[in-house]
Amino acid sequence: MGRTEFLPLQHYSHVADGGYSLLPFRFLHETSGTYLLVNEVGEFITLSEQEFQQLIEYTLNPDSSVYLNLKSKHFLVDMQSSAHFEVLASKFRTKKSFLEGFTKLHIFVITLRCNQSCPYCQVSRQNEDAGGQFDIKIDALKRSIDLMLRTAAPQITMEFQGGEPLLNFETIKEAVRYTNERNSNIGKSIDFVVCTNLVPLTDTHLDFFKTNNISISTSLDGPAYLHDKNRPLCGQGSHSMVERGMRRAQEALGKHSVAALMTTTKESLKYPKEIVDEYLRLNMGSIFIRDLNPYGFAVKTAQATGYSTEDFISFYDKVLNYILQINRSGITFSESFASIILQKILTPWPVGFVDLQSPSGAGIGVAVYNYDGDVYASDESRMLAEMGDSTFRLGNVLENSYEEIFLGETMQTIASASCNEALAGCSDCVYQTYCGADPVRHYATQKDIFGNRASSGYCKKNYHIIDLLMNLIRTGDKDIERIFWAWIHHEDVNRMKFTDEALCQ
Amino acid sequence: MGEAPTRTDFPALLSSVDPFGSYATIDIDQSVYGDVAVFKAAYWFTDKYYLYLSRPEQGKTRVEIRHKLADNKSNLEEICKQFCNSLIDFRVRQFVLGETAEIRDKLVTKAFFEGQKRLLESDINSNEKNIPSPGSSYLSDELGINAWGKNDSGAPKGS
Amino acid sequence: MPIKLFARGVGTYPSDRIIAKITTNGIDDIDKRADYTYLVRNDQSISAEESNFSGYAAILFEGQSHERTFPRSSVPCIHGLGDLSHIRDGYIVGIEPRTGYLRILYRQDSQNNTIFATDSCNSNCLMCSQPPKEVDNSELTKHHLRLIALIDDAPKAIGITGGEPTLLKDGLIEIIASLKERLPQTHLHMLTNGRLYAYEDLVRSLASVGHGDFVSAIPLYSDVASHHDYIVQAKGAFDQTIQGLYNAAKYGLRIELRIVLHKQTIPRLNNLVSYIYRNLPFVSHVALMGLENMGYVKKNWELLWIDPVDYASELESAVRYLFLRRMNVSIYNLQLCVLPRSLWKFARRSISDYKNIYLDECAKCDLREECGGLFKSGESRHSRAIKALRVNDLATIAVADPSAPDNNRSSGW
Repeated sequence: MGRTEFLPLQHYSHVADGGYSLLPFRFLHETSGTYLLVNEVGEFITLSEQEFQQLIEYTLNPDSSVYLNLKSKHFLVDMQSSAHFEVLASKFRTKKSFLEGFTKLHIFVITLRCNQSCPYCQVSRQNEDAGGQFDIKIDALKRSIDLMLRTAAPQITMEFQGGEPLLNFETIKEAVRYTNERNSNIGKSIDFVVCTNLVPLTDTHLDFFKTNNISISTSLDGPAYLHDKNRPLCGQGSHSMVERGMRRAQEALGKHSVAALMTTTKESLKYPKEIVDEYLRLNMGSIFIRDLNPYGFAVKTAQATGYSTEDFISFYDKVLNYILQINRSGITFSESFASIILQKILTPWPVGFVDLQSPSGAGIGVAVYNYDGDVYASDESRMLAEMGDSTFRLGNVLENSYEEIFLGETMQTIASASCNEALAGCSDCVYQTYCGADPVRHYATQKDIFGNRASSGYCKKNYHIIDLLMNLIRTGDKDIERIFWAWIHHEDVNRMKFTDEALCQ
Repeated sequence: MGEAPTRTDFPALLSSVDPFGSYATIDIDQSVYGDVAVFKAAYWFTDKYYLYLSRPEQGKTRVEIRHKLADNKSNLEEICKQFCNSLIDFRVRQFVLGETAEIRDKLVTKAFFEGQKRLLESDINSNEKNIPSPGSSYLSDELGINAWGKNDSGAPKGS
Repeated sequence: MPIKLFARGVGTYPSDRIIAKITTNGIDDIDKRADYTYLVRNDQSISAEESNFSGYAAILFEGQSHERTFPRSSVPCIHGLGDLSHIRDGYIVGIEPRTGYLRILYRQDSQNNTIFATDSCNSNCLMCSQPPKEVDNSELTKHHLRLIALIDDAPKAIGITGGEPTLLKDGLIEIIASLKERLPQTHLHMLTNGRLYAYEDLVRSLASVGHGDFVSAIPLYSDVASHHDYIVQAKGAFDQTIQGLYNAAKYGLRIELRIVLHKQTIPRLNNLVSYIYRNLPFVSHVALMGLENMGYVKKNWELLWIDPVDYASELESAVRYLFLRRMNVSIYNLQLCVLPRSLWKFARRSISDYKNIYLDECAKCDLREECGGLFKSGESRHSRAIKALRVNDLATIAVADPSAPDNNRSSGW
């Protein structure tokens, strides 16, 4: 028989002199007196004031459960075992692996022409009949596609944007044809998306989308009285046409092939519930509550559409609360920005969302190929250029090489301000791991790519929403937990119930 | 806040008025709060206040705080107290940063450049001796993992 | 039904271990007899003619040795093996002709065939159900390869266990390569502590065999090294296993984690599943396992025993944690009547057929067919909550405990 004399736990848990070392983390001293700690790989823990003091004074009792919890979550390490640096480095690498393969989202501005004239237009439109000089030329298109296919990422998204891209449908067809032809011996997996207001949508379009597995992204700001105020269509409201288009598209392409974005205007702030109800009525499974970007015509019409970050935050809170209430009643419906943050907080997986990542998405995660051949680091960069500031123009597809565009001076400048690990204010922030950097936005709002966090709307908004979700995670009931995981997994909230369903047999 | 410089119940705090309006002064012992902690704390007040940092004498950092908007009625004394508390947190952050900066660099290096690299005992309190060195083989088993009771006193010798 | 896998008779023939297939009718073709051992039933009359037995690997006699006369034979014989009525034609057995020891190695009519790679182990777990022995591993690989060569159907699954299979070192690679070659469709499930997986080259070699359906089932007992090391009684074991798991992930080996539930693992169970999700999300399955009252468990009873009904809440929150994160999780070895109903759908019928029993109480239970029952060793010591479940009562419970939203506060994520 084996060795039947067993050694006690103390034999294995004895910590030699030298105690423990701290591993990197950031913390928040909460008003309740507790401390929230978050480390580089997104694990978090709450400590009492006394526990925190003991931790940093190196006086924690190595047998206490708080010591073991801190060790297990990689906040400290001791001589009793290896640092599992292997594990930690691998977790860290995984969390940052959205960087692998470089640019994944490629936006093509098919035309600047548009059939709508939204007062806050973030794109700086031209009239529908403005003529061909605002359409992308075939040589620029093909050269842009060639550049896109040079990116290392095996899976990319090709997005057709405008203006209203359906006004230049023939070019979309050509773009898809040329991309598929060129990709046939490259073998990337490509998701095609058309961003359209759906007003010009015809069966011809839908047939083409269905044949080529193209999904639709549209804009829906809420019920008709709100949507039509936001998006006037010369003379008549566009809401009814969007609704008609969405229903047709859902029928033709399937529910999951139709997504909608909403933009929050000053008018929207009055209708948190109504907006959500409208999305539910139109059979949408989620909503992305977006604040108004400081670009495009939005800045010019700030008086009419503008609101403060605080206004937006309180609106967001109302919407999220209402959405949670809906989910509690058994209807699955998610808020997309929250889903992204929840994934960052609760999962070990990488989350590459261009507006909320570090290094920032500009140029690295997204590239915009404009109708005139210019390449921009992001859609926002292009909007700035439309306003006369081409700071973030990376180059032109007809004049510059891939290297000049994507590794050139402009890209280097953006990169210098794109890691929140090294930004003032961010470097000590407890939520750094879950947040991002946005040099383009900070440049647009503060004329400085590095930005000042103390007065940054980006910072205020993200901090608030992350904090809100973090507190729901830490104090929420089991329903909230189940709902959040349903959002993360794109699963039905009822199927995430952990109940005593009868034995299946 | 009075017309003449007023000491508050906070010993390091002084408020007064000059032609530009009222302002408050905090004198900070440099041996308690390093410059970095003071700057980091001050950073977050730049949104609503103007701050001026100076060194009135060796070992002392002076912070002057005044409202950006003349009509701002919020209490400067309260702001100064918040500032003082914030100093404590930033001092602790600096401490944690100092304790972990090196290991963080090594972590990033390992994650992205040198996957095989192991820690030295001088790097950090940890015991990497339980894990085989990179490139070693199970056939030679340098650690004797295959031996029964290895590392446990009183165990029989390996098979 | 529990089955006796061992038998002991009288054997004096000076030969090494023999591995052969059972025949009770004899094989006509002498050239093929080397793969067979002739099992002579108790009531079977045999002619003493030597030619009837020549060429077989061995001859086995049921019953008592004094009850019959035996042929003179140059073939190894074992007599007095008692009742072997459970041994059927085609079973593969291992025979020690010197000691008269017989062990069933393979039953074509069972789903629970396992290759016992070695009895030696580099750990010495507090709750080991088959305490390790120091054995000479040098001949074992040969025997296992012989066994594999004799299997001529295509079983759904084969297990490899020990002791610790990796102690066979490159022999293990040979065994797995041979299984892949001979039985490519057979699911392969190996119980290993994964400590030697800390050497990257072992994992690389295992992966390069290219077996399409191979799972390493590796125990992890705590999220903190000292507790795991204590439970397996080996310093450094946690570090090595974690390193091993990372190597396995790197080379794409499929991993199941196994957690035995007892007094030493329950207190940090929820920290452990959280550690698994955050650090080892690549594992394909987590099995939470009730204790088997065998081997060291009998000796360490006080140290280990906690009635499953007394850890129901810890178990429930651990399973829920993994369920919400879409980790594949199962409960092994625990009876439905000792589990909260929310956990029933995670309970599997996991106990191998040869040691699986039901109690008298179970005969009255309406869910006996859905329940995994008990280990044979659980007959004497088992949960105080074992109780026949009646469908009528279940309906009442369902009304009293509706599947409405569970509004109690979460226990931390």
